[in-house]
Amino acid sequence: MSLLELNDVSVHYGRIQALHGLTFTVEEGEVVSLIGANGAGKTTTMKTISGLLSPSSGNITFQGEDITKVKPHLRPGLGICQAPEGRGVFPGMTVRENLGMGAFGRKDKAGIDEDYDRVFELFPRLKERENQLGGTMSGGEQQMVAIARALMARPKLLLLDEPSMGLAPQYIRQIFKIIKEINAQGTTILLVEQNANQALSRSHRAFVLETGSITRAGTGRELKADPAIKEAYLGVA
Amino acid sequence: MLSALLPMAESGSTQWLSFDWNALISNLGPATIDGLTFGAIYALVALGYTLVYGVLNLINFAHSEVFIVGAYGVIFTLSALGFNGSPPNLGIGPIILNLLLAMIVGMIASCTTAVAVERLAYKPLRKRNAPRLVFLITAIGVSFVIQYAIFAFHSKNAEPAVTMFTPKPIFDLGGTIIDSQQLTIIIAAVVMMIAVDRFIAKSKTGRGIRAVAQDPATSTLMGVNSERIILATFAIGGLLAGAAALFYVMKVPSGVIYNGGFLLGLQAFAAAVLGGIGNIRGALVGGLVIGVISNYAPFLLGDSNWSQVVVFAVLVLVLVVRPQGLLGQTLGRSKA
Ligand SMILES: Nc1ncnc2c1ncn2[C@@H]1O[C@H](COP(=O)(O)OP(=O)(O)OP(=O)(O)O)[C@@H](O)[C@H]1O
Ligand SMILES: [Mg+2]
Repeated sequence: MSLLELNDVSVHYGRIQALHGLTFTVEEGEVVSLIGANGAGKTTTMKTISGLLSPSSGNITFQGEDITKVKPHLRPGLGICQAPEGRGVFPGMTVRENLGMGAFGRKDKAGIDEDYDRVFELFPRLKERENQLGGTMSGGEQQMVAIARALMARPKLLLLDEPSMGLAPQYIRQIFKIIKEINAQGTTILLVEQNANQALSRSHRAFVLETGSITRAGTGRELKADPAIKEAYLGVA
Repeated sequence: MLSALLPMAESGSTQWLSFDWNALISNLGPATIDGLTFGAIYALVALGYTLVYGVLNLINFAHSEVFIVGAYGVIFTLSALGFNGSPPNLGIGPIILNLLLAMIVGMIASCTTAVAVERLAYKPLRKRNAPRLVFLITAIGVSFVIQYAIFAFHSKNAEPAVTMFTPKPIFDLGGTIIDSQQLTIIIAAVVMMIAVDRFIAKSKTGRGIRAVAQDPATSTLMGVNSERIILATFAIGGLLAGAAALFYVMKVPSGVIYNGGFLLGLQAFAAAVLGGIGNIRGALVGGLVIGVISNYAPFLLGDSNWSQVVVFAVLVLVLVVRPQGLLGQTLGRSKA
């Protein structure tokens, strides 16, 4: 049984079809990345998994249970938490309050305190800025807040939509290092990235999305070696 | 209602804008204290506008009727308990108990109305992703529907006045007497507002309210049930309007009429905007300022019909200088 399965999932925005019968799986313990051009449907896929969008057909299972109809706010409780594209840091809340929002549905006070320590260890910068308002954090810092906040839900599956967007190269390296660390600690990760080179190097498997359909799949290494991928996504002619 | 906004048409006097500073100065103390008392009532109602605006970006024009339904709840309860136009023949203990009971009924009535309006009128629109303007028109429509439902099915006249107790002087502030009624209203309102402020800052529901106000989609991703939060927001606004209704009936015993919420709602809305809509402390500051200003105007200008003009002139002036209101917005998303 796979941790996450999408079976023939189609999604429409009104009349416009954004996903065309997507089928793929994510196994427990993996880092899987979705790469694709702008408008390919990567964010749409993530929002469908976290429940902000509902499929017009097909179904999604998580740990073997059909979650297609489960309300989005109940999904963090099942173990799915998304750090959204564009970060979605609550601007008027402090860093600590933002992190607390990740644990909104949890009641295990002791576990939550443990997780604050854990994310502060992963992101020491956030510990220093604990009482700063989210809206006044820099872009890179907000990205850290968004990832750390999603971790506070103690998810089994962490959805990261473009965690490296708009970051300087040293930040990007740091973010990918942390993603690896989070995965090593036992969290499965589905990653959307424009930065295909880094994403493919860091993931077990990857899918290429083109206008709402998966056109290629394979291990990160295989896709990195694929000439068509090299040309289209890795900027190598 | 229009006549209140067009005072010159009635008075017909030629010297319609002369300032009588002496009248204001000689009444400054009592005018201020009474203004603060009214301001405390406006502030409680203003919170309902501010909270809903913070969460939904919607100006809930039906909130004035949420308030007046509470006032009916209060006055019906007091009449049933034997209160009438003359001061009750009761000790202080029983009076407090009776007033508390009336307040609870008022709070329940307002809260139920607010929640019903949200579920019956606004939620269906949200489900269909209706444009902002449709919500606004619906809000105005609901306001009229409730007013004229009272008018048609209950009465077009004001309810008979009810006296809750005879105000007694409590202390003397340099020549200005503060009475028990004023003190009760100001203290109770401020305590309630502090409680709400703390609730929003600390409780789980409060965190949810702030999260939905700042970023609804991300809140959902974090496990916040935004529909529940929206309902809670309307409920809190309703409870406060119901409490305000008791104090309103205390100050304006003959003011319970089908359209009696209109003017008070307008003042409260002005208070919310003045303080910074979406800002809880702003509602308190805005309410007190509006209360005092609208109480100065009759002395300064010799006619109570000027109150509204002065209130809204001040509102416009403040917004020209500080469009975000006195305290700016903190609940909602505009805070960077
Ligand atoms: N709310 C919406 N209404 C209509 N169409 C939408 C909406 N959101 C996305 N789309 C369309 O769906 C398609 C997929 O969009 P999506 O955001 O999933 O792309 P993406 O792969 O995440 O792109 P990017 O790399 O730019 O983030 C695009 O053609 C987009 O224009
Ligand atoms: Mg995207």
